[in-house]
Amino acid sequence: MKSTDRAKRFSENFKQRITRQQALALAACAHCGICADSCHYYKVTGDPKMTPAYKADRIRRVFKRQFDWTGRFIPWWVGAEAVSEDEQLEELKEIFFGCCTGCRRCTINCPFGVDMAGLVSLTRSLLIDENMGPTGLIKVMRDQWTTGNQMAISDQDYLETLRWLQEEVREELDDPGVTIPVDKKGADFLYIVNPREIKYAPMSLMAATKIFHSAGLNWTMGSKGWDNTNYGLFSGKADLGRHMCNLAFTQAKILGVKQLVVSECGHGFRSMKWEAPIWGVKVETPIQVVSVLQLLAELISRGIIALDPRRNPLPVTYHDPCSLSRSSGLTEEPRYCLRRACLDFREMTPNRINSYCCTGGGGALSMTEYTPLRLRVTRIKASQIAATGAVSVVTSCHNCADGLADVIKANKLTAEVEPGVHRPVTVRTVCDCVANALILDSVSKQPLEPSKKL
Amino acid sequence: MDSRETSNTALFFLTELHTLALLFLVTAYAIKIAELMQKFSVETITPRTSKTLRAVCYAFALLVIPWRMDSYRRDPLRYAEFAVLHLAIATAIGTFATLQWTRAFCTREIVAIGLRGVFLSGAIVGLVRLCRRIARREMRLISTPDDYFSLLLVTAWLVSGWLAVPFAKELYLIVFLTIGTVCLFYEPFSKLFHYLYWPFLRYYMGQYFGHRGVYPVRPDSADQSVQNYKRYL
Repeated sequence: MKSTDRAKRFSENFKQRITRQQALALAACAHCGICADSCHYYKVTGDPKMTPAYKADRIRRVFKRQFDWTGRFIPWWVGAEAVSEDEQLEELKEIFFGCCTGCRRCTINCPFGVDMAGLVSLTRSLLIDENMGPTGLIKVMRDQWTTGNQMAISDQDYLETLRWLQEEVREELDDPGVTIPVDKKGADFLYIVNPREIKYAPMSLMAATKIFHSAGLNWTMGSKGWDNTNYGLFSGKADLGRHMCNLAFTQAKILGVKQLVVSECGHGFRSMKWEAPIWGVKVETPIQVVSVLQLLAELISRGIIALDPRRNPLPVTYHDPCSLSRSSGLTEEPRYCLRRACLDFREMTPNRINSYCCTGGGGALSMTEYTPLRLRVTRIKASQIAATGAVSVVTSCHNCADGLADVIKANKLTAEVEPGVHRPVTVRTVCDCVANALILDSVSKQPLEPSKKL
Repeated sequence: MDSRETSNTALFFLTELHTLALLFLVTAYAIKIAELMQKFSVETITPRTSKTLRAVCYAFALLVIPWRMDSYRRDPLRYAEFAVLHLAIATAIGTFATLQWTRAFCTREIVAIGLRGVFLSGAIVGLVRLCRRIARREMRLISTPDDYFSLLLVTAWLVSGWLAVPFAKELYLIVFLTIGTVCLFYEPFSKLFHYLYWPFLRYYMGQYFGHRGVYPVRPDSADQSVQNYKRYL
């Protein structure tokens, strides 16, 4: 295949797919440069090619060549340029996959509100269609298409892990009544998780099990459609996004539940709650999508579970996952939980919607070719964490948890646990902190009033 | 020459050419907006919430509450620059568009002092921005010939406005009107047109973040927020 064919197809698809919001974002930029200081890539590297305006300009030039009045006739005057060679597509790949996590920090700091993440999403999807996606990403996307989960965990392994976790929790609580229900019809909610919780971090699912059991909730997990992550969001491929959402909604419908509770996963929650309607996911019966953070906050605020913060005595800080804070508005619920579950909660600066990305980028870890640069730009997050003096950094996203582990490792981040004793900062989840602070005796033996049940 | 005495050249600029330029600009606006609506379909958006209107208002209001934006909070001077330059440009456009009726008003001392101050400060900011665009690597890299020329043109216009006020000297008046006319004719083909897109972008931004509960940014504490939000149990 000639390289020009690929470039032509890219340009043609670009013309067809671009939305009004994206066209506005491309047309409006006045090149004021204020976005530069919002970007962790630019702040750490100081490389002028890392400013969001420069990165966006790589695709903006294509837009200007096709749509701008001047760009069509005097392209050099406004920086317009057609894509005609594969090398240009390679450059786009490097930038839009390797140099931007789509965290939207530049968007909220832009006087116009140019949505960089939207441009990233569009460009990534166009590149993937031209078979120019990073190998690691293509693999996880294929796994989601074929197995229904990004880590290709087989049904047998998944169910065995749930049984094993159930035994672990029973043993820990010394309560044979603890169950992790699977496909329980008539449950109040279906709990969907990040495959990392099955394969690498089962403590998180154990923590959730303890909390749900203690609160006496009527819940279930699904044998299908249990992966809440969505590489449709990361890759910009709406068809995959729709597919993954449909798997979960279909399972919810089969089981007759009214709520989908999404475990601690930033882009998972964002996909199910906010992107699904954009991707055209149609659910016949209304199913409410709730984050486990909202559920935890409510369990605590209504006194359904009681916490003893002395069980988490060491200082902790909270990292706001971009997809939860800047793209879903969930900034207060985790803080509400942590202030009650931990004795010493410290804020990072800046925080909430101004927080810096951990470099996880909702899937960036799958692209190992960009790891060196990604690790380099972790410095800004590391300095934020170090400034708090916290022993643990808590987050509510498993992708961020991996990103933060890289931040800690790459920057050899340690904290003083006791006078003179330093150890590497640890990464925890909100569920983990809440479960650790649970006062089991006072709660689990109390019968729940009907109103407190889901 | 008295301000009331106007030569044929100045009269031509005042009544004919600048009216033509304004008409051209309005036509270009209409065509651009029509193009935007026809060529690009709006991305499906998430369902409205009760806070959508507030969020859209908040997105617009951020223009005058810069401390809510981290970029301007950290660098208030950049906001001051932005405010001064855009105020000066808006004043120049306003003066240009209405001069044939407001010329006498502009000759009043207090008005003239105000106008001169606005134009001069705007021109200084224009120069500062031009120098920054040339001096800083990251700015050079994102700058096109149009970026330099637009800024230069606007700065020159503001300088001519500063010199022309109170519009008593015909030469300065003609220079101010000429550059203004050039600006207006050039606008639709340049980055100067960015302000046309601003309301649209802010509207979509407000809607997008409003639906998701990001905008308006919640000023209350975590405790209040949790008590206030919808119950799930």
